[in-house]
Amino acid sequence: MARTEKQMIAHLLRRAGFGGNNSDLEAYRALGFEGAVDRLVNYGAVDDGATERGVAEMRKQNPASANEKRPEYGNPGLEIAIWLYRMLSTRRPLQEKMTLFLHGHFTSSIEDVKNANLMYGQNALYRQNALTTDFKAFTKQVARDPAMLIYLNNNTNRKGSPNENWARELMELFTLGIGNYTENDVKESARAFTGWTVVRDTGQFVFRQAQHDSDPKTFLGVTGNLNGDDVVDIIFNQPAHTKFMARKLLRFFVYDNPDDATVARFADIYARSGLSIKELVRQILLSPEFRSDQAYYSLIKSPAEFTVSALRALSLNTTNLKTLIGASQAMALMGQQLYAPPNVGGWPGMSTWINGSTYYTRANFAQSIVSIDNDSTVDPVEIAQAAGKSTPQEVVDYFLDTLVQSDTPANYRSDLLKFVGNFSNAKDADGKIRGLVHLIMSSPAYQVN
Amino acid sequence: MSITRRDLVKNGLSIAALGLVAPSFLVKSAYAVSGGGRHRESGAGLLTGGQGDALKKNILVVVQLSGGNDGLGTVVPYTDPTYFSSRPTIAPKPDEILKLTGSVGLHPAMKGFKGLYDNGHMAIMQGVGYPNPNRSHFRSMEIWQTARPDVKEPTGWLGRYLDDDDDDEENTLRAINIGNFVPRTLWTETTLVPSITNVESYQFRTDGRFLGDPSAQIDTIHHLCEHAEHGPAEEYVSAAAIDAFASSDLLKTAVGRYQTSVQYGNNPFAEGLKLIAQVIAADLGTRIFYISLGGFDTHSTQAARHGELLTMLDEGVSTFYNDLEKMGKADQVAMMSFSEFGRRVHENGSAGTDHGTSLPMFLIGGNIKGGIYGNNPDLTTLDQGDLRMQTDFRSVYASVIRHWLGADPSKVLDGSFSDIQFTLAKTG
Repeated sequence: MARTEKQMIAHLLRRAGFGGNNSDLEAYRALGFEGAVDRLVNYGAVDDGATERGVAEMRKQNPASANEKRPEYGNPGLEIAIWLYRMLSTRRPLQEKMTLFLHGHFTSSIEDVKNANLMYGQNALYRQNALTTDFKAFTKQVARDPAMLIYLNNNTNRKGSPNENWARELMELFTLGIGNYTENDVKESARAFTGWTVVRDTGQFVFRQAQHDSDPKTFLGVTGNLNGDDVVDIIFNQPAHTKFMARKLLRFFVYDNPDDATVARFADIYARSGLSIKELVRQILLSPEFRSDQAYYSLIKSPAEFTVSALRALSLNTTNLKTLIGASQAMALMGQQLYAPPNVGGWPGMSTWINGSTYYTRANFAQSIVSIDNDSTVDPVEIAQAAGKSTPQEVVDYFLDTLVQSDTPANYRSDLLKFVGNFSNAKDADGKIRGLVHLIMSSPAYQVN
Repeated sequence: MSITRRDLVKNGLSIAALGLVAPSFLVKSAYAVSGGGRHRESGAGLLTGGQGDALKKNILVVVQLSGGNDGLGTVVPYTDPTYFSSRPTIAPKPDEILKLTGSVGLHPAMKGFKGLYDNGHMAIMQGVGYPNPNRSHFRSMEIWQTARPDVKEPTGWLGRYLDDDDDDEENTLRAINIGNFVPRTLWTETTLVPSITNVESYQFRTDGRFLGDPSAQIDTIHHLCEHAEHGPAEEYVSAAAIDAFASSDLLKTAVGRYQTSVQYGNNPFAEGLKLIAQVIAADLGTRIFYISLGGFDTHSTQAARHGELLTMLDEGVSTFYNDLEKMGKADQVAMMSFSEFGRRVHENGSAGTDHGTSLPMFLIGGNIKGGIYGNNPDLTTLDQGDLRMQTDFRSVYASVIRHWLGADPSKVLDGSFSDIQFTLAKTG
């Protein structure tokens, strides 16, 4: 099916970012598709000082800790709000999208870690390496991340009494996938990571030689006095890794069921790039698969994608803590609480995002953001006026274009025109325009990606 | 020509294969297109004659304990010295263990379970697992949820039960999950099981101040849901929304009518059980409920955490049972608990336990034949530090399907499994 350039740019921004309003779409369209990919991938060249100033302002205006007994645990609500603000405000959307991907990949949860400052530390590490050019080196940094060490109990992995949690998930969920190692490999690599722990008072990574098991180990066929870095090196020599990672990123960016040949092609690109996630993601976004019918609208928006894209489409950009925390709570009811994935596997995504309960939460969230009671700054009526749209038909077409790039069936549009009818007075128009935006955002077409 | 659900499946509309569940609205619209008139295939039902009919009102509540519950710390072999020597820091104190028999007792937090056991309402199946145990949370949970240890299977065991049971098929509330994610157990080929966390928010909110007629908004969203033309993902959302519209008024009425003198706890698990009680009280024809309690992955400082979780489990389940008794429905409901695996016999260096294998399952209900089924775990003959299984979990499922749901297990499970007669004679 032929799609307009604007529809393909919108597809790109939904997948490689969090959507956008009309002027965002126009700005990326002016670059052409390849230029838009280039701008998204090479985000270091884009100035995002405004977002950083917003974050600094939020830190200045809110308490650094919410825990009197343990002030070092920081302020979880503030950290969640700051991250959501970044997603709303960023001019480097792919960096923020990959940070979210990594949060669901190298998972940790504040429910176990307890300490919001350590969770932020991990978040900053992922943002800094969002499109790393050396995934192996990055994995070694993750293996030293205090939140991760606590979350997967490696902080208590000691010689003579190993804890296998981190060692197992490192292979099963983070790098190789199940079936590419044995139970004995789990036990042996746990020994290699003994003594990799966290200093209780400072929350810093430390290697404690006295707790480390220095006896020989055999891991994935290699025998020696192996330590954690050796284990990571051996893991990345396994051919299973490049396919594992290519499949995971294809499923995140393109479609849920990439075939083996496609996976192999991208695994090869990734291997030849020296494990550069940046190059892998760039090639995925430029690929015919990404632009195919099979990919287009084949995914279901995550709660973060739904919530942030709805707010971005209506140009809401706020540092207001109350508004941001309210939105994050709605996201939690939709099944995605930032900093608290359901388990070490992250969010399973796709069809698991949608059921009766989460559907209603999405629809009711859309209703709340267009409602005049809300102290947010979203006002669809002003948006329509600013765009010079005044008749019912102009308004319907304007929001269809902004929210779904007019890519809906004719009877979808006619149902909306029927709903709006005529504007009998300003108050009537106000209610109907809000109702119109609520309906589009509640419709199935707005839940897909 | 009328199109049947099975035709749709046969024609490749089985979206389960794509990792999605087939939208039931497709089935419904197919009926509408064909001019109504529901076609029922004869002889396709699972009910096994008179026995099945007597069980058609039975309700199953599945309690999933996520993360791998420590079976040995739940049902404790308190006379086995190996137990205490393997668990030097995390074993419950011997004098606090709630003794059930001369050799097994419950964790001290499980006072309500002890009462249910003493009254003969609780069966404990010892040592339940499957061959070649997998110690990955995800694969092992998938195995318990799909009941297919050897192959990757998109549908769940209760999903297949729902697919094969034609009885009351049009009821969108035949099965209900409590929570934000529909577990694999309830993935079906043809229907979408609703997931509910809170009845108040389980409805389409409109803004009546601006439009004289909120029903215009409701009508319009119904229509928009029918114009889902971007493929399976959008159709799936559409199906979920349409099913939700159909069930939310029913649920709201049910909850509005419910009154109880029982006081549920103030946590999501207890609130979920209360919601289940509300729906059971309203007789909406729901036969399967599913609820989860997570956090059992106790790799470190197990004693405190496990105690808290078991307290929540114990208080929630015993309060719920009490409520069922008061409404005269305790005999109609069976609860079944499971977890993806138990934990290793020896505690680790973090005062916790790593991933293990088999563990006990609980079956609770007024018509359950109470007692301990199977032997105490053998803590000395281990396989890679883990317990050997006694009973295949599919035996328990098969027996629940046969003796409780009144259906033929061979339609749901792959192969035949030994039968456990755990119900009282009056229910078959």
